Amino acid sequence: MTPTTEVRDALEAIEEYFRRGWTDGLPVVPPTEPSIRAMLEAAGLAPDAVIGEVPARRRRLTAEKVAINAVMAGCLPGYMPVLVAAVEALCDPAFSVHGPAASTSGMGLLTIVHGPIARELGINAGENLFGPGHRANATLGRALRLLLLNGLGAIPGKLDRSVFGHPGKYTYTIAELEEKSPWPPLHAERGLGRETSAVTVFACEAPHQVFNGTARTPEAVLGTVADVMAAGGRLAVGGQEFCVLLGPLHAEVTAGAGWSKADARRFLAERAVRTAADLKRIGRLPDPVEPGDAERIHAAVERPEDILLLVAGGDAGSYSVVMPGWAGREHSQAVTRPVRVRA
Amino acid sequence: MGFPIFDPTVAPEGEGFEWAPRPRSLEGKVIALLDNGKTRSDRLIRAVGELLLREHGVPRLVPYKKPSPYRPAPEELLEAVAKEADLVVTGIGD
Repeated sequence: MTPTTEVRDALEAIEEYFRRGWTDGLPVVPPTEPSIRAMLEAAGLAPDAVIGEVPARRRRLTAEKVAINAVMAGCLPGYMPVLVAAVEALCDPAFSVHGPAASTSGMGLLTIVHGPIARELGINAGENLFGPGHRANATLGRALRLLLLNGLGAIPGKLDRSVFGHPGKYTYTIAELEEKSPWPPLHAERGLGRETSAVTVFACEAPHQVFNGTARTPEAVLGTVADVMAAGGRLAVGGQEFCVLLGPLHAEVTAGAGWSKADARRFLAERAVRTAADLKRIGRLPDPVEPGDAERIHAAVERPEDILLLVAGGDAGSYSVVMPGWAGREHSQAVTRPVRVRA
Repeated sequence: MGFPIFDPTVAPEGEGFEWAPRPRSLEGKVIALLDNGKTRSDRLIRAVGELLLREHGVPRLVPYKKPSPYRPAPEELLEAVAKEADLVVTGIGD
């Protein structure tokens, strides 16, 4: 663990990280050897342990580099095991980070923390969960983005060619509101025990908010959500995954009528469709409308299981949120990894 | 004692890329057209292929397509390209 150089004090160090192009545009917490070591110890990792590799970027992410970026982001040592699991997910070939990191569509790295560790670390799953005010949410997501910038070289204007980007590219970490959900949590559906702590990483657009304050049936709630999922201006006309967060009030209406999560997903997959005629009329598909176009269906998702369905958010309003995934399932898909908590 | 600066970046591993030697002429060369797979890249690469046949004395084109525009081309595909063709033309659509 050798410093590159030394400056006079911490304030000068903050400027030095800016000067070298090693920040996300916000000031970083300048790491020290003890703060880096505390990160590594919290995850029980040697500095040179390899957390993941990205062959397309010819890079290997070691525990030391993950720890340095974690300190810079403002993480506490207790967050490190979650960050390590998120980096493992990011480096999984199924996630295929190179595409979403470079794409003109400007994807964020949504990180969903599951199980007991989400509650232990105080990751906000309730009111204003995408908003400011929660250190674990803010700094975990920021650390992952710093690793993309510093660790994988996804530099805006160079590798990262986002036309707009989105605010979630600064930080995009949430948890599921498991205690208020009427259904099994996402990680349990993805083959892990309910009491297992885990992380899901998903490359997706910014949250699209869905409002329906008068819906009293699952069909009304989910019909409105499906309409947002099927918006003609989405990146791909079918084939990708979606993350849908049902707000507690919408979840209550849906589950209150006896609908399971599988019922809800099936309904969304069936309803989130547009016809070719429709997409041509709005101009999203080229060429004039032809006979048969009214029957030609473009589905937002190919299969109900391509919808990551969770309950989260505050219960003072009737909202849900839709986050369309990137490009298509075969190009990048959500990856869930268990968090190894040190005994 | 000063305040330390730790490098958070990761350098790429292995050798840097080198350009393959450029041919002096395309006359008689078999050319692989590697479609990147993005929207309309097939049209672009087809137009390039027609130009090569018509104006540059290229006797034959071998078409290939990447399974995903967003992932590196699989090794087997690159090996097949190297075996079958003297040169490869690739690019991006959209």
